[in-house]
Amino acid sequence: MVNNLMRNKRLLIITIGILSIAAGIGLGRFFMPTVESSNPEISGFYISPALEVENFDLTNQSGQPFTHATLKDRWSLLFFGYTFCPDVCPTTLAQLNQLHNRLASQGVGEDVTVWMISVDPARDTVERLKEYTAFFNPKFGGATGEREEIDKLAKQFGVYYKIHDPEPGADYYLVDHSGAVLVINPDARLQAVLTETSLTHSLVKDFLAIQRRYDG
Amino acid sequence: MSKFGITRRLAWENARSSANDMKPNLLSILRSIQKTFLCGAFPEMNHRLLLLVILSLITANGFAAEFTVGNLTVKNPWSRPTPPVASAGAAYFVLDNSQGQDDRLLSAEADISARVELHTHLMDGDVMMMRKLDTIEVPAEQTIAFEPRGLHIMFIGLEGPLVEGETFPLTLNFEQAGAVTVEVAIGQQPNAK
Repeated sequence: MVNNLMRNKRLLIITIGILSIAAGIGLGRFFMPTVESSNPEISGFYISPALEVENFDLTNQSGQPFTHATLKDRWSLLFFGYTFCPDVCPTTLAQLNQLHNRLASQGVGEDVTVWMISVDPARDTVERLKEYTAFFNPKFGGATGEREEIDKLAKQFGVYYKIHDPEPGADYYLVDHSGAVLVINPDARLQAVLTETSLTHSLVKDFLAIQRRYDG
Repeated sequence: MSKFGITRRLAWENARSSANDMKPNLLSILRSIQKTFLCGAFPEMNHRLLLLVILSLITANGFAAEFTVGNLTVKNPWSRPTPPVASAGAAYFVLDNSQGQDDRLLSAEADISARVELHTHLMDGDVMMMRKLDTIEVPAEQTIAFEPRGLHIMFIGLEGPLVEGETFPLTLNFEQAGAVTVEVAIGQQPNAK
């Protein structure tokens, strides 16, 4: 009889112990939402808080101003390139087109604009840029302008480019450029930088994660 | 320029021969696919037809082509369609030298552009530096992928845009294996790995 009571008591203590540990874990999870508060896992960098973009003055594919104001109230995906580029730029545009199609199929394609900024205004007129970007998607835009204004934008994004002299005997020149895609949020602030790995392997997933995190 | 020893094998030929090797229990697999995915929408669809649909879905994704010269095989040559204003384009393929000897790609020829060059991209952080190469080493027992943001054949001064669905001949000159002319399919990247 006494033995039985003792055994029940021990069982009760063990049960209470287990329950309180479980409750502790549950409460801990509830009060410390560590998963939510960390930055989304993307192939690139999520910038928190998002960086302000200083004003710049370029011209878009239709001859209209492309400035800080253009970036407001929508998501913008920017990358720097040139239309003579046979490999990286078409590949990037084709990959951004896949993302755009995916967003359009979910009815949110209008919320995102893709921009190719040409760092090669000597060869790229805005008319040329228009034809080039529209080939990949008629909704894509292009912009270029004075070297000084291009640099203003490139420098604040940490985007590097270098225009080479033609190689001996060549009638063309090449341009080294950063292949990253800059993600500008609807407040016209730099929210993330996506790398080439993201473009090739996880663009849709990464972009949606950035948007989700921004929407809170 | 020798074109002997060049064979072209299309995926559907492989698919056809493997269809002949079908085991009887494939029927039951097909039946369950039909049940699962078509939800009995086409109950009268016969299995041969269903098999045809599945095979065409597989092959439509990539017009798998192979070209061989000696022990070298050039797989799935492709080019991205180019905008009319573009003056440059690129071709890609997989070079399988798993059975061959040390070799070297010396040059490439095509009549779609003023110049045809061998190029690669060097990566420094996220900066792409495209560079012309004089030759490309093709070591024995290795497979080299020419792919976007990497090695590619570059066409400079395109005569006209590369149009989706069309093809053009490209001759690759190897030091050991000799020359091989491949048919480059203009379209989207064949099934990426």
